[in-house]
Order: sequence, then structure tokens, then C-alpha cells
Amino acid sequence: MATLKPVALMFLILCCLIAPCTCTASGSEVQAALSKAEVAAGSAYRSVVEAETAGANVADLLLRLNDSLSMLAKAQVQYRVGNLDQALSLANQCSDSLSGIEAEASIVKEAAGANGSQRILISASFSASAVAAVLVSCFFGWVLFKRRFLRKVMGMKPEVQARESE
Amino acid sequence: MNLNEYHALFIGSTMVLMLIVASPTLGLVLSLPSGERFSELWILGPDHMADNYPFNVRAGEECTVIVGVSCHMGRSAYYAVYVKLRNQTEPLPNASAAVPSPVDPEYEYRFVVAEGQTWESKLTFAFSDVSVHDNVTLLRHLSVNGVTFEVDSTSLWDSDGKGFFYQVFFELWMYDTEAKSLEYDNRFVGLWLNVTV
Repeated sequence: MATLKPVALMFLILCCLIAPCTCTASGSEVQAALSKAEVAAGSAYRSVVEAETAGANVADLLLRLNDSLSMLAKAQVQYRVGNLDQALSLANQCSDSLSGIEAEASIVKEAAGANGSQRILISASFSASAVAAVLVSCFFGWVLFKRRFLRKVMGMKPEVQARESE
Repeated sequence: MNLNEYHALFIGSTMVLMLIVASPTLGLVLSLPSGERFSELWILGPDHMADNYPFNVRAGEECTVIVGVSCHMGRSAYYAVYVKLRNQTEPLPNASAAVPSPVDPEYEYRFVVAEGQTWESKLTFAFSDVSVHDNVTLLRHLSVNGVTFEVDSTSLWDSDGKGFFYQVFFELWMYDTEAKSLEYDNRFVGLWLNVTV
């Protein structure tokens, strides 16, 4: 028992010395990680919106962005209650997942942009052909109509009216 | 009808037909003015109705409300909902100046909502370590969704309402792509609570 007490005391002192070094993140470290995650969240959101505006289907990206933002909110909450380790871990996880979303949004946006241009080109060529067809058919329709109309007018006999004085 | 009138009719019909056949392409190229853009924020009672909201709350008693946000911004929007607690004297957001309440947020939600879609989440909260001294109550802790916050907030006895009142309120913030930051959207909803020991 007598030899056990100093050993236990040494163990306790060691634990007290090691624990803060290995487990506790500093406040400034967490703040930096949170700021980084905030910036990454904004950047990822802007990329997703750009892809959405370009006409891409961003449903999957929005789901993933939601997961990351939920993580960021949890990190902020943990920071507020002083749970720095968890806040740091969540902020770092959030930043990692957001960088993937941003990269994918750029790819999807480029694909959507190319598809959009192609769609406009195809639609424009169909519309131009259709407009030309309408113009030609209306022109020939008018020529035929005019010819028939004039023939009808020429074929009419003049109406003779009796003079009132006679 | 004479020939000139028939001619005008033909030209008019041709124009209309040309517009009809070109409309799919015009729809892709021209952007029509969109309607009013706005967001909605609401809280519902535990039964998902605008009823049965918590009011008289005892220390340790869990209360549930549902927070919801709807997006009508013409595109997906990135929102934050800050959950704040105030007593009767602490300021609310200033709606006319579009300034949020200076009270620090306790809990928060962050999410994106696609155009025309809604987001909802259940929020469970409870007060603990509530003490009353004469006509002042001291509220030490607020738990939101299992996370406990140290609030240390006092409230004076309200002789008109006959209670010690606190307000849990929710502010809606939206990400501004120009400013590259979350900005207060000038929308908040609150819930008055009579907190008892």
C-alpha cells in the first residue's frame, strides 16, 4: 500500500500534465477553424447557386451542403458551450466536406452550361426553320389567294341600275 | 373586304404564327421579370399546428416547438436561424431599421432550402436552475436540443401579466452572395414564457 500511493500520485500528476496537451484545442485554433469553415460554406453555396442558375440539377449537392451546414451549426454551438475539441473536430470535418461540394458544383455547372448552349442552338435552328417555313407558306398562300380573289372579281358582271329619272 | 384588307390580315396572321413557332427559343433567351422574392419563418406548436404553444414552463420541464422556413427567393437560399433568449428589458430586433437583436444567440440552425421548398425542425428546450428571490427570478441554464447553455438571466415580477417572463425568439439570417456573409433577413418570431420554479 505504501508503494502504491506514490505511484498513483505520479500517475495523477502525469494525467494532469498530458491531458491538456493532447485533448484541449485552444480557443484561437477553434475560431480559425470555424472562420475557415464559414468561408468554405459561403464559397460552396455560391458554387451550387451558380450551377443551379446554369440549369444543373443540384438536388444532390443541396443535400450534401445541408449536411455540412448542419455540422457547422453544431460546431458553432459546441464552441459557445466551451466544448472546444468537438467544435474543432466538427469545423474541420465541415471544411473537408465543403471543398468536395464546391469542386463538384463547378463540374456540374460546366456540364450544364455546355448543355444549355447546345439546347439553345438546337432550339434556335428549329425555330429559324419553322419561321422560314411559315414565311414561305404564307407568301405562296397569299399569292394563290390573291389570284383566286382577282379571278372572282373579274368574273363578276357589272350590276346595271335603272335611273330614277327614266 | 377588299384586297388591301385581306393583305393586312395575311401579314398579321403571319406575324402571329412566326411568334408562336419562335416562342420556345425566345423563352430560353429572354428572361421575364420574376415575382416578389421573400422568405417565411414560423413556429408551430408540438402538434404541428398554430396552437398549444408552451407558456407556463416549470424548471426542468421540456417544451417542444417546430421551427419552419420557406424559400421564395427564385433560387436556393442559405439560411441561419439563431435561437435567442431575452427578458422583458433586453431589446428585440428593430424591424424598421432591419437590425437584429444585440442579444447573443444560444443555439443555431444552418441549412439551404431550394426555391419553393420548406425546411422544418423540432426544437426541444428546457430551463434549469431557476431560483426566485423576492420579485426577481434567476435563470441559470437553458437546454436546447440536448445542449445546455449558461444564460444567467434575471427577470422581474410582471404584476400585469402575473409572472416572470422570458422570450425565446428566432431570428432568420440569409447568406448574401454580394456581401459574402450571413445577413439578418429582418424576420423573427418569438414565444413568451412564464418561467416558474
